[in-house]
Amino acid sequence: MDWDNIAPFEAASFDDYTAPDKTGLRILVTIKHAAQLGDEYEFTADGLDIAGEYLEHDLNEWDDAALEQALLLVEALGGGEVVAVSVGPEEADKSLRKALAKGADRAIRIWDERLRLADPVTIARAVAGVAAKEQPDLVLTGTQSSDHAHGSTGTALARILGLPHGAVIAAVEWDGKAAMKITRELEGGTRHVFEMPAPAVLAIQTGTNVPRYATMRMIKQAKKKPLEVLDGAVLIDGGAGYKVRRMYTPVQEKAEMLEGSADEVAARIADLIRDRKGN
Amino acid sequence: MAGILVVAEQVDGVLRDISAELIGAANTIKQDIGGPLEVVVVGSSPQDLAGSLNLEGVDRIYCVSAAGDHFDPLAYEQVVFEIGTRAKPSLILVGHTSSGMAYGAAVAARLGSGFASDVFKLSMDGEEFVATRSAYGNKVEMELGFSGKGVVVLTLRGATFVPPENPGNAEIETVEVDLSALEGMSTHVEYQEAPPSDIDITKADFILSVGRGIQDKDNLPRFSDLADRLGATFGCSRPIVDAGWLPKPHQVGQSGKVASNCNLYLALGISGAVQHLFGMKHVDTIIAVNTDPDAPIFNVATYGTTVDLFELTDALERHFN
Repeated sequence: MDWDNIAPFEAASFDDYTAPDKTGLRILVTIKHAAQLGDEYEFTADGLDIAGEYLEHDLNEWDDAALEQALLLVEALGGGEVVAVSVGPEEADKSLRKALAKGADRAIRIWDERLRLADPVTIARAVAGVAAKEQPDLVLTGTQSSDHAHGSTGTALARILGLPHGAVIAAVEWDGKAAMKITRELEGGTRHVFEMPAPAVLAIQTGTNVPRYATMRMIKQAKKKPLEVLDGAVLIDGGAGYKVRRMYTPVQEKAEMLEGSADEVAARIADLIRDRKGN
Repeated sequence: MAGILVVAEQVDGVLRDISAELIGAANTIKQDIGGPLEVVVVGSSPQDLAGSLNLEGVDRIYCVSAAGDHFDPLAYEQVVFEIGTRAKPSLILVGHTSSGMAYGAAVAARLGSGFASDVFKLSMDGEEFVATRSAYGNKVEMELGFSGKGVVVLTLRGATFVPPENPGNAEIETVEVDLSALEGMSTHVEYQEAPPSDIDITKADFILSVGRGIQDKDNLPRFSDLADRLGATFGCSRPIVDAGWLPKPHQVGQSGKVASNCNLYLALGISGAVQHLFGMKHVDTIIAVNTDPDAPIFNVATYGTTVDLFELTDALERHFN
């Protein structure tokens, strides 16, 4: 690829997948089963990632905010369908089931073992393949994920789909028709209000809403909701933004650790404060 | 492979710091890549901003006129695409900011180029670019490569690269880009500033901040009382504001207020996300309290402790009775 050979990234083709007919408003929400690293960890043998047993996963909190925004819109507009889409292994069903329990109607998961190190462009191509079939009226993503914080999937997805888009979105006003009023958050807390047409892709910021909890009853009901798995093999060798060369623990100057009981540490901190502030 | 294109960022006609930082980042790798370092600036009167971008190392500044100074992701994507087609850079640098996040990946998707975000280090391995970024909540780092890509788009972390100190000798060129096809795709309405408050994080010299570690909203008064007792301004991390426990003016960090005059920072139960630590390098003394010994905040703190937050707060209160 170079300037004389521009080769735009394209949506994956899920030829065997047929989306149900639309009966009303349809909102697609991306879900990541995001990883959290514990105190102890080891790298995989190839040195490209953390070994799986040292990671704990949960629904990415930014996607939780995107899901909540989708559910609020559907409720306010008097009905519609929320479809949750994830790229991940079977364990990711936990986050999709959580999304279904909270109120999503259907879930789709795309996977192939070779997608373990997939970059945001590859993930966007996967979701774009589903969106091409589902023809949603709106796509909501999280602004970023809590593990890798790429903050890029929604923007790449929008470009692949050829839709208008916004990132770091803190408020969405929409009557379900062509125009939306969107508020994005800038550095320093300034908010920028603008209008754009739907369908669009919006990357939602946390704090936009307070995501709901699923009750035991909702969790039980969610087990009956459809969760379809698509083969991600079509994504392999179809173009990516980067390849991981290595992952490592950085050598960093660490803080001087204050040891001892809470009383002893408090005495040291009190001295430090008095020394700096003279009170 | 040659040439770097930096995309300047402005909000409402005012250049953001990230613009000069991107030029500083480009200078760290310019010799290795070869070719010119060029900057593109978009706005209602881009020539007015060109002077501040004419910094050491910059060879050319493209001024592109737009109907307004309000950011529009599709317009930026179009401008970068057209200037790119003309200049054919091998590296395109965009800020990893609220605006940069809204179009950087779109440029890459349109070109099918290499792409990585929130990059804090650039280097070369032979003929290949290497970008370094954090992973897994800032605890580890990863090096990324872009083999087979003649163009790479990167969004770079703010408050990380040093802007050039000296002025440059750039050629300034006005370029017309037709943006009429994008009309109606994004219409500016207004900017809303955060409501005024008696808290001013930007002016505070001593800040006591709380994060998720305080566990419950009901625990807030214990910490705000301690802040009062110590004579500290009461701050917090983003999750506390997101949960509605404290209003926005208390939030320290990139999406809140940067603690630009702080020299003593006491962080209680804060893990230290990149966004929270944004602009904290100058703080003389950071004391971090967190039960996780691997919390990223200990990588920037001067002193740290893993003792229980609540026991420590009680003990500190006794010391300032």
